[in-house]
Amino acid sequence: MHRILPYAPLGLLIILGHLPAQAASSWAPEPTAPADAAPRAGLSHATAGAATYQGPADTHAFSKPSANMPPPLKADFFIGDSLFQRLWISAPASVKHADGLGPLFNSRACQSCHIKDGRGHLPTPTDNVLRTVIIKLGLSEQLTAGGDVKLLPEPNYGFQFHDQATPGVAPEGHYTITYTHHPVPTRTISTTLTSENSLKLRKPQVQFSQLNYGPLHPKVMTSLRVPPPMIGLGLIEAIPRATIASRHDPDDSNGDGISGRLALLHHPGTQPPELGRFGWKAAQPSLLAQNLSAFFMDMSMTSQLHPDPFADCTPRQRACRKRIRQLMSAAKPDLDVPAAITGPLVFYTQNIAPPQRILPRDPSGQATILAGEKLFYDIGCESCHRAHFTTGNTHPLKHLHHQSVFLYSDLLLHDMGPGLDDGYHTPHALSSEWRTPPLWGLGYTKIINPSAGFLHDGRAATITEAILWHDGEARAAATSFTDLTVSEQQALLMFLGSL
Amino acid sequence: MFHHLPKLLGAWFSSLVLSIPLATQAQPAPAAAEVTKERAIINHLVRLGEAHYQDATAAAKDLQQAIYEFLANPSPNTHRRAKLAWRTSRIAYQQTEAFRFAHPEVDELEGRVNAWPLDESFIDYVAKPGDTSQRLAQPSIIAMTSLSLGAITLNLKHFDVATLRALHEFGGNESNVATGYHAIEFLLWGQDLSGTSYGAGQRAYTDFIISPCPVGHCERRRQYLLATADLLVLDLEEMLKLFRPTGAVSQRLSKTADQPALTSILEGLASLSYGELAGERMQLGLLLGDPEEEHDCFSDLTHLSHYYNVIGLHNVYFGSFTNLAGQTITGPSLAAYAATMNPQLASKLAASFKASHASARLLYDMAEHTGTAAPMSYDMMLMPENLAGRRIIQNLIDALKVTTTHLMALGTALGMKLEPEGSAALDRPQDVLTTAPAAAP
Repeated sequence: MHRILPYAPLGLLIILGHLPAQAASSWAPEPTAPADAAPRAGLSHATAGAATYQGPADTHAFSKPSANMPPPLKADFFIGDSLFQRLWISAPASVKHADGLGPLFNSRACQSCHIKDGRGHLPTPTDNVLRTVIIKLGLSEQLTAGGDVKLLPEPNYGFQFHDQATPGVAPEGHYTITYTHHPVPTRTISTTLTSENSLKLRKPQVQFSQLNYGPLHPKVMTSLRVPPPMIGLGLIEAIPRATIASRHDPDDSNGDGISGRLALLHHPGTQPPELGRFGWKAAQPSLLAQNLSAFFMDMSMTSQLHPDPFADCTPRQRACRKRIRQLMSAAKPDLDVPAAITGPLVFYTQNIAPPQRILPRDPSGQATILAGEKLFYDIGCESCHRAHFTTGNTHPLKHLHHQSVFLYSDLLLHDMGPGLDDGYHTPHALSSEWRTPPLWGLGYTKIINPSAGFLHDGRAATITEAILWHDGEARAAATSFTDLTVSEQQALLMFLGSL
Repeated sequence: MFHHLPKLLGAWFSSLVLSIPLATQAQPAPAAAEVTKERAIINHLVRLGEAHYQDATAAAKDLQQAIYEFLANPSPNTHRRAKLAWRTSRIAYQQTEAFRFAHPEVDELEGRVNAWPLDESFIDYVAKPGDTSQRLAQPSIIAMTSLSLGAITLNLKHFDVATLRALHEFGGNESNVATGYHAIEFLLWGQDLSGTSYGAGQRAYTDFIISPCPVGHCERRRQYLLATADLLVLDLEEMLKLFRPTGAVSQRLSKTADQPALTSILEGLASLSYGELAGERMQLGLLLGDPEEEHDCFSDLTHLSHYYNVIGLHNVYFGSFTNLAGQTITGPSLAAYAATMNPQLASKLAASFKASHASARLLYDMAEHTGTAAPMSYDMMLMPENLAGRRIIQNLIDALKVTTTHLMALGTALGMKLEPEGSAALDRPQDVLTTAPAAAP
């Protein structure tokens, strides 16, 4: 169904659609390599092999190209970067390749939410209009046959809440964030963590107001999401499915208390099911799918994968639909995001280099890092935050092949228990299930965006808070963390900060 | 060089207050400590920046005045004079951009002044796609008396500077609030509906006549034009202030050591040359093959914008500037410094500046129809099938790339590590002309 387009990166990317088929036969739980053979990072600076960015740890460190990218491709990276920063405008506009925004949207530019290609954050007092977070909406429908569960749009508001709109169309409404506070586990009180005066376990809750399209359904599910950092995504795409599958253990047959499972996306017509790799719930199989889904849901811009001109405008949102019909009646609608844009943009997102680790030069500091790394393994963090992968040789971008990457994620879904359950499930993941987020670049988080928080809804202001929120399968590791001595906790946090 | 200097220079001259001596003069030896060669260049570039922004501010005041006169008496002539004043103001402003990337204080204000692409249907009526003889029935801020942004509803019953500032403050740059040169350009020219033939936007002066008002909302359109013109002057004055002796740029540079100060100045040149002009403003358009993927798409004066960007690069490197009134300022230059430090590299740089000027001039002349060849505006050059036109653009891109490479080499020779914007695309041997832009599926 796809033709190979003349634009090389896109044409090649489409070939990637066939990757799962090649890898599928071997995803049975048979490790490709014994677990203990995997290297540890130690004091190595390279997080992503030859692709690692080796420049200074400044606010631009998340926007650099893979260091080993062939020079002829660098212009594509730069063009993609321009598009990632471009402020899209409403149709019709003279600059055709810049229009198509809305009528409903969350943001005008990718970069507005992925701040400097890093994380977004929960609204700060100055974010009075534009936010860097989104709210997913949906209704759950239990299907009896096979016990399958379906995700339906909220009848008035669709799959996502849009607090912005082009002139003449009402935005869906407004929301504020309130917090419920949770006690810090008593064990941590006796440790160094009390010195973090600001240590708070707060859970954000969305309060909708000024709803312009009627009430929300009483059974609506909502999920608040902050945008994740953009580094190393092409390398994640290049990891062989079979290698990820080597830790697939949905029934915890090895009895380690961890039951990670592959995020298999059961879309009609794809056999075998594609593997979800991207997003907080691993809902997207490729960067093409991820990018075009973000265009569609966050900006209401159509593309080859999402041609519906109404995007997330529901039939009940008459003003929005009317505006779109007006534009359609005036001219045969083109896709808002044509291949000429998709190619460089996807290429850009495939090639943002993970930056090198931030390591101390003094021997005692280095010893602390190594001690922290050892604890990371010993208390079980590494059971889900899988340290190491080697990328395969089938990705269309050859410079991403055979790279030794320290990702610190197994890319599997895990049940994180009630602590992180936001009540919003997808067709492929339970409401308590989350994909292990990669930890590379963790030490850069506040350098890139000082307001950034951790976890899917940005609730944790510090790494310590993020650890304490771990629940479900990760509860034991979090408890082990609180049981550590002061210096051990410090060592572990220093290790995490070095990533 | 200035083919279309407006006849309205009276107002401009009267507003030009020469607070700095523009005539060439030797730098008197400072009374206090010995000034290093590097410091003399830095000091001169602050003066040069001040002169650039002074010229841009004066030209913007001239534009403001022309708009006042146009609105006081809308006619084909006053309309044309306002458009000529806009054109002149661009000559001055585009040269200032050579200072923009070296000084974050300026870059921060840039979004108010030169934001692009412009959300035109957000501002005013646009033609119906597919039938450009008709207007699209779609609300715009000129047609609406209030606007909701997030939880905030702004009263737009009357446009003035305060309203536009408020719009900007609420949304920030990310809201793409429509102010600055391109908003004024859209209000004066309207959409360029000439497609791929020679011709710019054809907005009628009657759009600004209160009664009869054939297109509706003429009173509000007048208010909007007036307010954006006033705001442009205020914003440029703010930029100018940065380069005054007490301004943020002067103050910061006076506290910065020579080496990092020169590094940021060279970086600023490389950033405009490569990342912004060659990359963002030209290569992207070639790649996307969209004729309106051009910087000044309503007036079709993109060639002028690009040409004066190149002139701005020259000004900074050679330490020399001639303002619209024809007055010249010179002083200790990077070029002379390079010649003493690394003569070989300096001559390469001089040659590459000459080449980029020649390429920019050819592009300018083609679009201005100064020669005997058929006129070819920038949007025509961008057409995927216009290989000759695309070659003209590509030649300028290539020339700028060479300049940037030499600037980087100069930085290295002087012991600096330059990190200009868009340096990722340096050394790209691939010719964009061999990569046909992908057709929309």
